[in-house]
Formats: sequence, C-alpha cells, structure tokens
Amino acid sequence: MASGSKWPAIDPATLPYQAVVTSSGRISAVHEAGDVFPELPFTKDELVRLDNALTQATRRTKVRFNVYLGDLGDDPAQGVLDVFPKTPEAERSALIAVSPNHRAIEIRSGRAVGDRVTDSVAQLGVTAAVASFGQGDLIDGIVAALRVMSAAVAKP
Amino acid sequence: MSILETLLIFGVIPLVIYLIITFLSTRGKPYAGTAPQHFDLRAQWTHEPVLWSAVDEVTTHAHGHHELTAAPQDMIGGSASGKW
Repeated sequence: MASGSKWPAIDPATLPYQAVVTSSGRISAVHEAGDVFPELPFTKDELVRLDNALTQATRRTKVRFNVYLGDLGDDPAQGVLDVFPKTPEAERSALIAVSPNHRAIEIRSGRAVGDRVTDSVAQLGVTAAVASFGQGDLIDGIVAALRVMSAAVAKP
Repeated sequence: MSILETLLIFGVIPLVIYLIITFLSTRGKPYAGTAPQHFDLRAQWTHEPVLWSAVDEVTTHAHGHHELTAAPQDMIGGSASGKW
C-alpha cells in the first residue's frame, strides 16, 4: 500500500473469506465456482474513469473527494449525515452520496472546507450529476459532478 | 514402415488428439462463475454500499485520523440535494 495516506483503504479483518491484501495493496481473492462473482456491477472502463476523476479532483483541490453509492434510507438528507463522519478525512472532504433506490443524490462538504466547497459548488455538482442520471449513466454522472466541483473549487 | 504408415502414426494421430482437446476446451464455460449484471439505474441497487475515495492522494492538511467529536450536522460546510 502506498504510504501517501494514513487511511487504510482496506481493513484486513473485514475481508471476505479467502481474500488477502497483497504487498502492492491489491486484494487477491478466490471465486467459488458456480457463484456470481462478488464484484461491482460496473465495467472496468467505468471504474478506471471514476478512479481517475477522483484522483484528479483530490490532487487539484487538495480537498478529499469521496463517493458513496448505496442506500441512504427514506430520508436521504439524514442518511448522508450518518455516512459522512465515517468517510476518510471527513472535515476536509466533499462527499457525493448517491442512493439509486430513492433516486436521490446528496452532496456534503466538511466544515473545514466549507468556504471553498460552498452550497453553490455542491449545487453545481448535483446539477451535473442529475443530468447524466436522467439518461441512465450512473458513473458518468458521478464523474461529471467530480469534474465540475473540482473545477469550481479554486486551488488555495 | 511405409510412408503412409509414418504419416498415419506421426501426423494423423497427433492431429486427431489435438483436435479433440481443442473441441473439449471450447465446450466449457470460460469462467467458473458469472459476473454480476451491469447496473442499470432503473433497477434496484442490491449490492453492498460502496465508498470510493482517492486515499493515496496526499492533501496538504492531512494530519492523520483524529477522533471526530462534533455532531454530524455541525461538521457540514456546504450541502446540496437533488432527485432525478
């Protein structure tokens, strides 16, 4: 694992059966024959684009950009408050949380960067994402939001 | 040994074995399991929640993880919500 961050992306204790973190940081795991692979339902290309967008946004702004994809409950605004404190470097981060089942997107930024990732920047991200979500492109929407937000947040 | 016998033993028999193995190898499934269906935004999200972050990137103000004591709503700077 690269030493750039004090945040372990993976806690070895929580890895599934027959999975291990290799010295490069990659996870090596077995697939049980016959099962549906426990992988993300996205193409490799989409994941690479998302990874690049996240890296560039974080590198450019020095604000930690996080993306959460999952259920936020019936009240997404409350659900995102439960998720936000557990994200990496929460107080200096911008969190894009998408709840596909409720067709909701919530963007929050930490207090320490609230003067840079303001409400209007967050609103830009929502607008960019929703435009793509409407066309059925989940990853494209998230990438668009990352690009728009990082471009709007000037480097200090 | 005639030329015909030589060809049969050293040419045809290996070729037949080769073709049998080729045929058998195309019959099996390429993977031992199936990859999950590509996620469609109209479908229900049934996977575990995912959190993506560029954790290898260094932000200048990172001093490691310190315990967050503020209530979640006091930690928020900017916010926006949307539906589609």
